[in-house]
Amino acid sequence: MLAAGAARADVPQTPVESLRSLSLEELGKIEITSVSKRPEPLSRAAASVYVITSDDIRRSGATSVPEVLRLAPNLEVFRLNAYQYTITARGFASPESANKILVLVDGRSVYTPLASTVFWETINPLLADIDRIEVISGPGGTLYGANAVNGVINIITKKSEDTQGALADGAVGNKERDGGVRYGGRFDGNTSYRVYGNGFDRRRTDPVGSSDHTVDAWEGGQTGFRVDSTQQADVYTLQGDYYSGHVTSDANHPYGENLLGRWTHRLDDGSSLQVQSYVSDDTRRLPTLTDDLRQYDASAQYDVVLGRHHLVTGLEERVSKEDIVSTNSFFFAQPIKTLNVFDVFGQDEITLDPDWTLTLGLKGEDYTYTGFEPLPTIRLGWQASPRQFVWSAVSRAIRAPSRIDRELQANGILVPSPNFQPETLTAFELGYRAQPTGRSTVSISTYYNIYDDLRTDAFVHGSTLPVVLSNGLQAHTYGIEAWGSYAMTDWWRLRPSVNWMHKVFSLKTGATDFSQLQSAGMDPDIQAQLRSEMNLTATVEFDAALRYVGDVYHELISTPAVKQYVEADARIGWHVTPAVEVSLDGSNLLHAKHVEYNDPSTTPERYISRTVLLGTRVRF
Amino acid sequence: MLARSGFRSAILGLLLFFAAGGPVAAQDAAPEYTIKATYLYKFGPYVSWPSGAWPPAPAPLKLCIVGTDPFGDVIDRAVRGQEVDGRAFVVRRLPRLDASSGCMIAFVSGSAAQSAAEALAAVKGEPMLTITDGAQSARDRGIINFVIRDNRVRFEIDAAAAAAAGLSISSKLQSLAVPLAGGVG
Repeated sequence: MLAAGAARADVPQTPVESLRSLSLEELGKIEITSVSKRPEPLSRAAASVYVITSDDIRRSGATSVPEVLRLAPNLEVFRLNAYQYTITARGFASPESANKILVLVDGRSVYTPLASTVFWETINPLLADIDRIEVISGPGGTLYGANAVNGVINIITKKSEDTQGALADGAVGNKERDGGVRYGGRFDGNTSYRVYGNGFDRRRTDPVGSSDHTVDAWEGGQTGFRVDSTQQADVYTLQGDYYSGHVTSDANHPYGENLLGRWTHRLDDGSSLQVQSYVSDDTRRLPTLTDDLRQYDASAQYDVVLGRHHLVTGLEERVSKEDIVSTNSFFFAQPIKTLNVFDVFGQDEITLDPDWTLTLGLKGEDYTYTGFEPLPTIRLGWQASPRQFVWSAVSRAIRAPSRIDRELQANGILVPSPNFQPETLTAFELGYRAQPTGRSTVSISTYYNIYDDLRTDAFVHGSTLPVVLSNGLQAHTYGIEAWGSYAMTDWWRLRPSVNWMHKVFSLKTGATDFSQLQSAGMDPDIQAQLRSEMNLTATVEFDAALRYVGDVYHELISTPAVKQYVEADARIGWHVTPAVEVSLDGSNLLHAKHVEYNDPSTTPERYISRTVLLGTRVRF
Repeated sequence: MLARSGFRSAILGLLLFFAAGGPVAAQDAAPEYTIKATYLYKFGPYVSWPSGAWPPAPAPLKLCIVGTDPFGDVIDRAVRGQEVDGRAFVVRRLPRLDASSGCMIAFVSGSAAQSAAEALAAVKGEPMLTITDGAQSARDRGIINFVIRDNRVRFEIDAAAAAAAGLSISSKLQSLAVPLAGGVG
């Protein structure tokens, strides 16, 4: 778990000791994992990147992807109830406004063009099969496209050859039960596969308001497969998933499936070509709404080194066909709509001299609603000394209009907004990573973001309904994300982090906002964590975390919407044998229950309770 | 749609399925530099240095990191307790490399103080196992050069450079190397 060098200051590591028993042949078969669109040592990544490793996930005791994401110090993660979360980076938290983070699972976008959001409850991979989660705070528009405005979360599962054999894990606690199984095998020497399934059952959260009788108890599961085949210079991957979840009160029933194929061809000159395609179908049934989204995506990417230049170029086409049948007062005049996005991008990473790297990137994106949008970035990296790396970047990113932004209407309340424009960001970033001593690492990222054309609900006439969604809000935000690690001893590591930000919003001249700056979201100015990781013996681990979340304010209200709190988590894990692990995990230990977030316009306020989980994981 | 009973039966099916298979050991993925650090000390036993090139046992084997250090404490931890012919490793971090540096194994990554090519030129012909990381050209490449193939850490061996340095590389190690790209120099 100890971190490696300066440049990798923020990367938690597989213990190097665990590789001792391997032969040279075996070492050559271990896969390394990529950081951006091409493999790159994190050290030289001119961006604010935090990587959550598979070992971090296991040791966190988390049973869902959102809970795992609490490990990333550059994210804000708030649990709303038994199944809903709001997750963002660099501000704009709240279910309505956390629309500036792009989320990918093995290269497949799970960001919905309906509402510019991510339905976290529909992402339930087997956590044991996740290789790593790369969390990039800050704009990633050039490589990842529109909507990678405030960050990108890249969930990468292991190759099937790295998940061979059988695994079963389960956990039982006062608030939930979880279980999963996986089996990985081989078709032949070059082709391996895995199949998995998991299920969970989460209990109702306690309401805050006495009149709130909603039931949010939530159960579901996901099953899927992955096949990888390596034929000399070619690597083929085929994978698919099927998920279904169900709120007991029938308030929400999402289900869907996806299938993805990827072909990577390595040419003799060291360059590589990757072609990927996927289809996905996501359906969501709410009491007064049925939403069916089908997406077809194809992309190609070419990666080559020419002297000092490392070029990555590519293109992508995605067709999203959505059918929304609404029986409530909000509806779409055309229930079925097809949206097309086509983009082409190029990035050149230029080695100016051994210590300086300049990256120029440009993506052009053509979208049904907006036409052509350029998404440029310039990044500079400087290896200031063997143990210090400095980077800076200037980027432009947009949040493309969603269907809701453009087409949603309600008689007498909301009129469609065919002229709704993208929300734009111009971001300035400066960061520093270092390894002050062999035992310590530090990463500091700062940013100054200028937003324009943020969404407002403007009155069509005077100050009476109806409203029309408009681009009447501007903002600038700035902040610091800092984290580090310090090895107290060979067996004990501390990881402190702090995330501070400041936001200033202003309506454009003449603009009005009936929603009272809903799109500004509500964030704590400050969050801080202290994590401790101990290997008490060769087989016993003890991990603990203290988390502080500052007061969460609405922009226009001087009393906090959610009061500051400190919470603690702890986990003890015992490797009974190399194949069997048992663990006892406690979350939110300091209070019987507390509120993490409060956004009455979307969901009733609920308490999040102390939880205790007894878990086990067996390989055979 | 996967109703509650539906996903239970799906799990049941999987259980039946994997009960029929056999166990297979799995090595999870690892960070690139953790793998490279492990290689560094594991190369030693496959390389013969000219006799008398280095102080005899029990003097430790000097493993140098020259220039930018991508390993941090991983390399120190990697070599802890490791021995070759009863000799322990000692890790030294150097801004510059020359013939008097006394490194048996030198991981050369270069820095502003001395580029990788300059460091390699400074010890050309010395009995030193130079190792570079992803070098693209012959002048930046050590006797062993790490490369990434299929997302795995592999290495090239420049047999001519090894011979010039008086090092003998075992055929076992040579058999694990990937073919040298782009000519010898």
